[in-house]
Amino acid sequence: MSNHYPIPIKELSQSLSSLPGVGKRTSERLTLALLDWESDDLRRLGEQISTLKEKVTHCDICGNLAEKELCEVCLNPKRNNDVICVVEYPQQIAAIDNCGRYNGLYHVLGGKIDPLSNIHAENLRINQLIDRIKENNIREIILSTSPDVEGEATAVYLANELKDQFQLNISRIALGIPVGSDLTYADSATMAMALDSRRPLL
Amino acid sequence: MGLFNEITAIHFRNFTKLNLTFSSGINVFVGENGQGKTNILELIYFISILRSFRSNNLKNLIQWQQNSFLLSGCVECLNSKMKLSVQLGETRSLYLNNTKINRASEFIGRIRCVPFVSEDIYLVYGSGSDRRKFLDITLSQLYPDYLSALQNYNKAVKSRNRLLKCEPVNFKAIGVFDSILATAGALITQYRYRFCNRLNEHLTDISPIMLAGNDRIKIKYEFSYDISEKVQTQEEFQRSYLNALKKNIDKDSQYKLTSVGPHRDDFLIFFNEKSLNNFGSEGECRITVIILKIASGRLSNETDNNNVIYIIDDVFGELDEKRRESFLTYLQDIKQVFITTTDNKILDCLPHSSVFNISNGKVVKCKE
Ligand SMILES: [Zn+2]
Repeated sequence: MSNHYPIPIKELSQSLSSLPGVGKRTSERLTLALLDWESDDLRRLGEQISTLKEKVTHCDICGNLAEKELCEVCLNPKRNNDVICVVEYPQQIAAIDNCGRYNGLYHVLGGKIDPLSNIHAENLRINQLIDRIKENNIREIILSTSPDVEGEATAVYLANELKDQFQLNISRIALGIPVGSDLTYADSATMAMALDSRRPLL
Repeated sequence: MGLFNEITAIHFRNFTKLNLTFSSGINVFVGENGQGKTNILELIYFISILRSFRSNNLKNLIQWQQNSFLLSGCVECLNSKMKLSVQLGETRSLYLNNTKINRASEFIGRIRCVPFVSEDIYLVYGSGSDRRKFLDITLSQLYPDYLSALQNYNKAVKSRNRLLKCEPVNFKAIGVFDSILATAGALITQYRYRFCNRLNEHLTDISPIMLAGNDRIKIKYEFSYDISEKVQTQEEFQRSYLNALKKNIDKDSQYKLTSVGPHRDDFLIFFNEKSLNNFGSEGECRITVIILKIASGRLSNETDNNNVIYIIDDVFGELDEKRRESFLTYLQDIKQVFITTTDNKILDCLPHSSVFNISNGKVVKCKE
């Protein structure tokens, strides 16, 4: 940031640069762009930011982002209420829901088992999941944790816990090649997983 | 997989800017010691597997008073061409055809490179970790699933060790990492075990040519846990290793370390029936290392359908004339070879090679 800018510009720019994907130069450009906005618009933006945390909460049932006690998914009577897809973070719900292939419920763990970052099973929303299964007539669990060591560990841990207590259909999402990507440049770990989770065609 | 048509280096070791074109077959760099011959092999090796055979501190590879180096290699493989680039400064960036890529596993293995360098002597003199490094580098180049299993395995060992240090110990969580270790570890072990068996077949072929009389070199994979000799399949390795983890859990929680598994396995090298790891003479050790490398180079080349390249850093001094000739005949099947030497006479044995003279960091091609 150039030294001759007034302090308020420097400060806002500094704050913006702590956002993901925003470097020093981008934060400076954003700040200068905001300077051209109408005062009313700026005030509205300020309010949107300052009330964000109060207005967005987590769903009491599944942990998804919500405006009230329950999220849109849990409130929707048309969803299949006997299948739960387990994810690490709320943003993964959007990714799965947008594909249009899944119409069940979700459960957000809030992370994955990662001892090296001091995240253990008891830090995740696993007991809430077990309570949900106990109290509702759940038939199937889909484990959609990430395809790395920690995601795999979380899936194995959950599968062990659940199969000891319940009669459930437990599955892990298949992992593999992104659609529309060029096979030539697929990295080998992805390729190996795609091959491991292949399915018969006929 | 491929071979190098061209390399460019900027601020690498003593090269400010270097651009060289290569032919297939044998490329020889001739020059006095200390002129930068080994640096060329080091940069070829670095583009191939993103490591140095000389230094663990990669900052040492950056030219004095510079912040980063940039290496590019134009690689030809199966009639298609690609460009591999790597920049290393504070961080490392990898590019495939000028597009940034994130995983090292997408980069490594495009060029499969077998080194013959003085550091190879650690195969005999070094510790188990030197020998594991040799297996890991060789197999990672040949089998992409080996590299990803190894990365997962190492991460899982660290996680399990961390869990062992937590009070109270969560055995349920440790059990989860046991199963991840067993899956990745079985794949690693099976590749290594098979590699050692096949390496022995090559050693049997090469020993009579490179050694006197009935002298023979053999290796034997050493498990860090009890395992039946009959174990062959991946499922069997998985079960045996999982059992070993369970059996050693008391010891592991006492020492807060995972005591068994591929990260603790080793292999023994035998000269005739005697283990060289402890009892070899210097001469025996030196010739053994060269023979081991020839065998593993041939094995890699055979596995990879004659697609590996060799880099050879002046090892000829170790060999008498007869063995030197035998060694050079082993190079004829290799698609591309880079050799350094101080000795012009070597060129008489290599009539069809490209020759580069190197002096004070300047490299001049003097024969196509
Ligand atoms: Zn919800």
